[in-house]
Amino acid sequence: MSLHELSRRAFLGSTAQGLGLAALGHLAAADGVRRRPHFAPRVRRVVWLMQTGGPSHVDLFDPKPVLAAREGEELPKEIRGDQRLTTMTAGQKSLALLPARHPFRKWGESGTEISTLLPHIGSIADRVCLVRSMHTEAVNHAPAMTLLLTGHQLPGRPAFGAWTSYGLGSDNEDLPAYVALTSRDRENSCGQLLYDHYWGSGFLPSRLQGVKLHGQGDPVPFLRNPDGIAHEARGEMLVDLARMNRMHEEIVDDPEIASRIAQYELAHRMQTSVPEAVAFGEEPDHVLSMYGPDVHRRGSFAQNCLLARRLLERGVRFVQLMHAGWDQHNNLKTQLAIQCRDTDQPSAALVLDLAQRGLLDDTLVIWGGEFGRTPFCQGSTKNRRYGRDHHGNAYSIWLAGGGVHAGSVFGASDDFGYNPVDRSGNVIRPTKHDPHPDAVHAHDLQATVLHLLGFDHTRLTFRHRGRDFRLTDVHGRVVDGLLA
Amino acid sequence: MLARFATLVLVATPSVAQRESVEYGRDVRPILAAKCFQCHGPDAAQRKAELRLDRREAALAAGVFGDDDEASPLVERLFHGDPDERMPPRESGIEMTDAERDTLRRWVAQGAPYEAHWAFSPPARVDPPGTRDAAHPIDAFTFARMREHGLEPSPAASRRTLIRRASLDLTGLPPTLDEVDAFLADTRPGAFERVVDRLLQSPRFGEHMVMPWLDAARYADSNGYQHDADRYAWPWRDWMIRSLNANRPLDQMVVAMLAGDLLEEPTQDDLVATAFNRHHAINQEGGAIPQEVRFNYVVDRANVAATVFLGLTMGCAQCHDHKYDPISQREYYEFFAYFDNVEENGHAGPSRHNRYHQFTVAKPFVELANEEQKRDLAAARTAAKEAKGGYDKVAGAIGKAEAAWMSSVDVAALETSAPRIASAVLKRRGTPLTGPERRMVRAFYVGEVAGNEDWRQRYDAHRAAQERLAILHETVPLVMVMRDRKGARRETRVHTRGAYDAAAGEPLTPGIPAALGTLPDDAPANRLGLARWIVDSDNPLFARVMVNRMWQAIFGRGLVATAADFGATGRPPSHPRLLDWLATRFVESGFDQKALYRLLVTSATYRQSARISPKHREVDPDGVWLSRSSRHRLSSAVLRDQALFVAGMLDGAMFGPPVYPYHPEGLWADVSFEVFAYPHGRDGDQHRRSLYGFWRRTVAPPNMFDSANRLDCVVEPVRTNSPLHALTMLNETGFVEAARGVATRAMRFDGSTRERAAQVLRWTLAREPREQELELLVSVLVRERDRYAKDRAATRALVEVGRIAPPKDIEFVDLAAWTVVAQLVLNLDEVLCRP
Repeated sequence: MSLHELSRRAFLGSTAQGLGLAALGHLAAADGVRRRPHFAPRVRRVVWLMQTGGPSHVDLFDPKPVLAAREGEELPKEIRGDQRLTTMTAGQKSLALLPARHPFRKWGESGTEISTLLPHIGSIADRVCLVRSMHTEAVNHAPAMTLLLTGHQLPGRPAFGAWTSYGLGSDNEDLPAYVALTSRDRENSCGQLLYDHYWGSGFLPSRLQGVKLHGQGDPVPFLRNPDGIAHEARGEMLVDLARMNRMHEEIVDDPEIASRIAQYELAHRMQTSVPEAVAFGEEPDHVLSMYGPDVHRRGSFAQNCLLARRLLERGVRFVQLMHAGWDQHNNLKTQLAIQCRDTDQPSAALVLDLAQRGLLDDTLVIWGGEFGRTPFCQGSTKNRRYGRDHHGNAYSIWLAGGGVHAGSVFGASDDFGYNPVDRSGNVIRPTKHDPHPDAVHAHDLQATVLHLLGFDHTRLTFRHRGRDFRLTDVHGRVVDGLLA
Repeated sequence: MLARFATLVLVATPSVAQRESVEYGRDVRPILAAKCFQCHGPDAAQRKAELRLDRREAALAAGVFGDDDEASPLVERLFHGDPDERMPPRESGIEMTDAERDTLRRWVAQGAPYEAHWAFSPPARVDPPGTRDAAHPIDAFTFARMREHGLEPSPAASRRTLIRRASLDLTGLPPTLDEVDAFLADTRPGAFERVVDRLLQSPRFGEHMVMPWLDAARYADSNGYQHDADRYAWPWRDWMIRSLNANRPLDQMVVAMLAGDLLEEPTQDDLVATAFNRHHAINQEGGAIPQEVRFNYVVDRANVAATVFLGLTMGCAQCHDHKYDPISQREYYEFFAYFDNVEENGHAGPSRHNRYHQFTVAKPFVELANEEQKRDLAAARTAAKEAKGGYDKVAGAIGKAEAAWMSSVDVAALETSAPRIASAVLKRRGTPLTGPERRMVRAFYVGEVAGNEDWRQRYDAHRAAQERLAILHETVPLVMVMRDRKGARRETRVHTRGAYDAAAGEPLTPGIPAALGTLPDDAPANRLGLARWIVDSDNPLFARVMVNRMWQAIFGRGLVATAADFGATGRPPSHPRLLDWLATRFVESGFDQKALYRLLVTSATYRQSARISPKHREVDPDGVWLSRSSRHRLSSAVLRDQALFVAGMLDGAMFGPPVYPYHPEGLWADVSFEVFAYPHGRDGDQHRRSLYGFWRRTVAPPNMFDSANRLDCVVEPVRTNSPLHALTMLNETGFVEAARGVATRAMRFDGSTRERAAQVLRWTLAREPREQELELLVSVLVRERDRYAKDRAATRALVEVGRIAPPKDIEFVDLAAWTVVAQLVLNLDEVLCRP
């Protein structure tokens, strides 16, 4: 009897006795009840190309001719309002306007304006829904990222992908449902760490936490057998282990034992399925070349993009790809172009690759970071090193894929890229407490993505410490304007 | 789990319709709390139609109950034919079942009687019920409750099972064979009680019982956030272990944790105890706004204290009045005010460096050094300064020469003599080196290349002095403690919507929520006043919350299943009278923790077999009614310690700075982009008990699966079942090495293959093997021996896993084959679970 048959019998055997199914942790959802979507989902899977550090919207996605016309002038007081600054620029006497150094152009039939620093993303503009009125109240990396990914600025709550697996379970029994991949710019210019709570399960069962595939060593900790134990030999030992566990089951009659056997069996299958998913030796050259030359460099953003496609293809529900290096406080002049070069082609390639496989229709691609950057200069352009500070009032992200309004731009910011404006062009100052339909808060994005996955964000809840928690805290609205 | 439990309650409890009458606390309040209080409860801001249903007077005044059943507007709205009129409103998304509606109808028909929420009334003084066959007071309660649900107690477990269970529950380690044999041979009455007394006296007791405290206190060895620098947390951990082992009364421990600094003439230990409130993450992020950072710390302390000592979800009231429990937002900030007066400003620092990491603490802190250490430190600092001065004179010249050498040296030649230097030199031609890499190159350059004796001496003196200081810095900790500001207290106000920068209204006086009682008139308005009230017998919550967690530590689940929430939305206790009896007894005993544990484990309830009968499956699949013992999986920390113990490899050293057990190569570096490097190099570290392992907040130890995240307070155990756990148990270096340790022990045992296999099962399970099991293990051994006899390379590879060299006097083929057998045994479900 093979290991698989053995545990299958164990599983069916105990199911017949009325328990067991609920005990089979991996197959069922968190609490033994498999949840169903609240309505028909538009997408089955999500890949978030998280650009950490805060990509500069005024340099890349949101052209502001006024900044060029008024270069060096002070940011008008009425635009800034009572906005708090980080302590890095709060003490700076002058907030001099700084224009984008690289030109924008119109792309595709939609004519969406995007920087020429991002020609590949520009070339897929007709597939993209560009949001120019994203906003967040967080002013620093870790709180802003934690808010965007877990719905709260302080660590401890489940990340987006954990909620997704909690709601939808897994599409592939041999791979984790939620995977995180990380990379950084080659210059190592930034100090942002990527914490494991960014893909953590918070108070949800730890089984739902994202599995980070590592860029060095084993892709999953302890995936490899110890030296001296071959895969087949391990398989034989596991059959014996299951037999001996069954002997004990006859005595204590605990249905959890069947579940234990099943998990050991899955572990054994993962030992081949995970390396298979991350080894792309058989990818044809024309596909590899879509992602650019960096695809051959272990742990690069380009390689992670290709990996993301392979994982999505194999039924991974949520891939969170995090690329650090956008925090250009003082190296905007030199580093922005490099950062764009490293991310532009692979990002666009992933969208096109998913499309050519027919996967884009039910996959959502999100590209963006925790906030944008200030339209004014941090430091001085008289020096070699200058840049822009963090800015969360208004910034840009883009979406592509299933259910998304392709070839469109949603929302706008004022002439300085500082605040969102409403449809009539009036400056608005929305907050999570006081949202505006023309602006998209982190919670609104979360609500909208859950909506695409088939969930009412107010009803996907988990009781913890006496309260029904949800990803969107007590906020969030579905933004219809982003939807096809 | 919750949903399973919910189903079970419906199955296990006779439905309300079958009962004579409905009871407010048991039947009605849970419905109102879950489905009505959101709009008609304590939160004034969210209240609709000015109606509140959580207070009888208010509901009566609103006239919702009418004159009789039929005329009640409340019942009318619950059963209204028009869906737009029916409560709860459709748009709320809250669904109420017909049975729940009927319960409320019947309650109104009974005259809508209210009861105070059970947890806010003092524990009742009750006597154990008279139960015919219960000799132990706990059994009197549990047997009666079992029989209400048609269950009978299970037979007692065997002595072998019992000693393994009690040893794991009380010390986190299995018994030795000698201990098992002694117990079996002890035929006098009270043999098990003597085992229990021995376990309670073991120093391992405190090491095991501190684990849930570390989770509750969000204890970690690093600061979290962007920098995640190291901190000195361990003196508090050691204080806890010593206090638990000394059986210090729990009320004293809690007063010290909350307010040791405010005691009269506090000792150094009293100060260290207050680190409990400083284990929150510390934000050093550039640009962080200090006022916001400090506000978050205070919120963290208030919420954690409420969860840990009161079982309350007080944090809900940070932004608005609590929706379910009687805690207003103003009362939240009165409680918050106790923790708001600390001498701190939201900035981090000072920092210290040692060989591996940067330590950063935040004020206030104390330096824990004895007189000798103080002298040593002063001397080492002077010496380090002098040596650095000497080195600085030549450092510039060395730097220039070194740079010239690096750009000209023949890397190919260097490859053979010094490969690590060669790769660093290569790397530098493209990207900057990390700090450790720069130091490595500098040491090589000055020592091997430059040929300048003056440089070498100055450099060596500098490094040696730094090293000496680093060692002292690691053993002389700066412990973050609580210390209030001198002079006027910081003004605390309500923060609108819980925002740090939205303080509004009048300054508040520290205080407790009115629903929990009143402070004595002479109580100081500081943490000491709070601490004394928390442990006072007038507080309805503290003793219950504590005995519930102690029960949970022994039985696997609390009498209140939601150990973190004793409020309206928590689970009511499965055995309310038992909980109250234990709580009052605990108080009367002077908060004697060991006496309470002894009471729990000497009950017949504790000694039952874990076998699951068809009746259990039908009536009580989760074991709520305690008619069998729990078979839950052991924690990952216990599993690791157990494996090391059975292998005879556990290093029993106690206390001190954290240690660095086996860790996947490159994991820290990968996650932190090479900011952190795991210090693999220290011998001996890898066999200390799990609790001493270094805990980095941004990269939790990967072999400690299902542990609390140590970011937030966790008081309920997490037990999931994932393939990643199986991979850890099977492949992690420490577990493989432990299997080889078991194999070595087996081979040193004088006996046949069969007898050796039997011995391995005795060591791990404390029981006699069964015939079938021995046959299987022997067949595995034979097969594996054949396999390894044909594959010398695989043999060698397996016996060399880990840092400990394999014994020379043992045949490696046999050792490899036995290692596989031992792996099988260490992964048996029976080994992974509490027996």
